[in-house]
Amino acid sequence: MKFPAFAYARPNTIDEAIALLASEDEARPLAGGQTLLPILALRMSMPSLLVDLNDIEDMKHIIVGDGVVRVGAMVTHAQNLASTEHRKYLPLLSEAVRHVAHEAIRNRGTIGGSLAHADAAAEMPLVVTALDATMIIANEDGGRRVEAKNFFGGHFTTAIESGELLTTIEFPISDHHWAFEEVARRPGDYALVMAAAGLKVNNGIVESARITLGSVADRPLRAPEAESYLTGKAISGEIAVEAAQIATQDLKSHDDIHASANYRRTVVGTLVKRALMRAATEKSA
Amino acid sequence: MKKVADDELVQVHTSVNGRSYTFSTEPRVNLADALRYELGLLGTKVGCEHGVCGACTILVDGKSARSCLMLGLQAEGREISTIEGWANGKELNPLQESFRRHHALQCGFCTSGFLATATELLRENPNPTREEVRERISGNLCRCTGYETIVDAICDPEVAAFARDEKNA
Repeated sequence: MKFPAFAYARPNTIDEAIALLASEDEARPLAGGQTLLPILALRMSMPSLLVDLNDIEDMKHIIVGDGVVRVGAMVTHAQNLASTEHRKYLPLLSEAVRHVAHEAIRNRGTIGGSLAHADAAAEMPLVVTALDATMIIANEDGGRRVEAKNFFGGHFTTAIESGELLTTIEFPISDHHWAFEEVARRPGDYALVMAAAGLKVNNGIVESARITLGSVADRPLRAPEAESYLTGKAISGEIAVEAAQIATQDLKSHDDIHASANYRRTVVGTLVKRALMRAATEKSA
Repeated sequence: MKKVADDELVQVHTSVNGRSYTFSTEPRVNLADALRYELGLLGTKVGCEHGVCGACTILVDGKSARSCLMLGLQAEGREISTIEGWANGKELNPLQESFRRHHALQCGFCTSGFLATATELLRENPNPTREEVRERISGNLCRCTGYETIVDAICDPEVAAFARDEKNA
């Protein structure tokens, strides 16, 4: 269908955007539009005002320093894919963003838009959860910081309040080795299931492990019991299988037309194992 | 740009296929419809209207984009390239000619979108493998199911030679 009618503004600064978003109850920010515009076409949302963020240069930077990488919310998936900084400092983001949609969508779709939409089958929510990123949110009172683990509230629900704007995602630079695995029906489709593993290994022994599962619940899930299980062990195929078992044993996933809950639990376990084995053999960046 | 009301007409200045255009549009009109109904450029097709099918794919500042997932007024100051700009009069460009030679279209509705996607790919990589082509065109749907011939057309050696020359030019 055609979009419903809406008023429109294209501010140049974050402050102007915040003022516009606060000016109407049904105002919504428009980032890349690769999810919001389909939602409008399907008439699932009818905002009164779209505040287009595409002219706000302050939201388009990738800045490395002080042990973190700050990625502006309006950085596109294509820019994240091409970023040499990310390949060096955020290899998990570089690897996962390849799975986001198709080139034409990646050229316009943004990391901030994907996070604010919070689709549990999308890659960026999993990446920020795996990397313990912090969301920097602007509002009329100046702003606040929300850790990834507190950011997602369920399907299509985040900590961003009405009148607020996600402006930057701050990633701590991790000293883990990372691997990402995904199963989708076609390249670029939303994930049926996905998993990320991060390992810090010293003399063959795991000092720290991070396991994150995606598209198996209403938000990305860390697997803390499997992470503790791995700590102090040497990675082998058997240990990885056991960690995958621990990570998935209590998983209550969902059935849909593409996959049963049982299929999702089984396949995501396999992906955890594969990601762990790859992370264990990844060379340092 | 200041706030405009939902029924307000906005003047947009843009370049399509090297020619300057000015048109007026309400905020809700997508770029595909603006191209078709304001500028009369009917070669860009509108399939699903929500970004899935890829039929409306065009190039904006050299990058592929779904014209159904942009607003007409986001064309302000952009350089847009559409199917109408790719042949030289009646002479098809080598990629179009390869599509014709390999029978890479039946009804033709998806073709301008496939050509936009393939043009961007070939500019980055004049010699893609069949696997790379298949992955790149996975965002374009052909319901005549002609994918094999479309991959053949994009991987044709004459297309590769043309793409190399373009890249080196």
